[in-house]
Amino acid sequence: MLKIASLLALPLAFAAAGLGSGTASAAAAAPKPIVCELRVATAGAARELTAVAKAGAPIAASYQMDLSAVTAGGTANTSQGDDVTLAAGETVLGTTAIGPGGKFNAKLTVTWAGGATSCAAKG
Amino acid sequence: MKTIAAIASALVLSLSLSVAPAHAGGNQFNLDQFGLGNSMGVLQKGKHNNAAASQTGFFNDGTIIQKGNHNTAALGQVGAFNSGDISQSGKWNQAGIGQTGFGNSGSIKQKGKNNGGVILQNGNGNGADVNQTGSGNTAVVIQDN
Repeated sequence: MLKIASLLALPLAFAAAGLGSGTASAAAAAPKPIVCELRVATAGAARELTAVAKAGAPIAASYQMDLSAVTAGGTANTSQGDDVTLAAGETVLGTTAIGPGGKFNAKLTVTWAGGATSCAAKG
Repeated sequence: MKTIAAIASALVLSLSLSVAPAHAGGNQFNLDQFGLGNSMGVLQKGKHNNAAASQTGFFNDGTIIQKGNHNTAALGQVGAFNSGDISQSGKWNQAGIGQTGFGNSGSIKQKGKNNGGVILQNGNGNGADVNQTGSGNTAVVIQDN
């Protein structure tokens, strides 16, 4: 009897948690129209960061790429950004190359009407 | 004079390197810092702006600000305690600044389009400012001491 009661309660528990609701799960899984990526490549001792945005369809957006680097030679802070119209597919937003050694922290934020996405890289 | 030629060559190389790769509307920045305690700040807003910086030595301070499209900036500075600032807004502006030695100060401020400014300084304690507004202005400052 206890087992039957548990089985009956299960759908109610899922519903209460939103797990049984098709609307709730669809909203949670709605893909963002833009995905960003910070690629880090090495060229000799230097490192090059490439800010990339991927869109499923053309969309107006803006981006901001901030980087702070601390090396033996000193410190550097850079900021790059602009309003862009992304085409479907991949768009290179900007690149930053920094010298050898040390550490860096970079963050890319892409904003569009109704949303934003961010990605980061460090090394 | 040989040193100034070397700086000029480096500056031209730096400019050419900064404009070589093709990107889809993106800004580019290249940084090399060696030595100790150098400081570099860069802000770029717009499309197809290119900035290159190289500070080799001690406690050099550089700033590059570019707003607009298709602007190009380069900055050298080799010795110590040099200070260089480049600020450009508009489009198709190009700036330079070399500086070797100690305690040199160079500043280029340009607003408009198609302006070009180059400052090359050798030795110590030189100071030069280039301010240009409008279009098609050209300035060259060379100091050797």
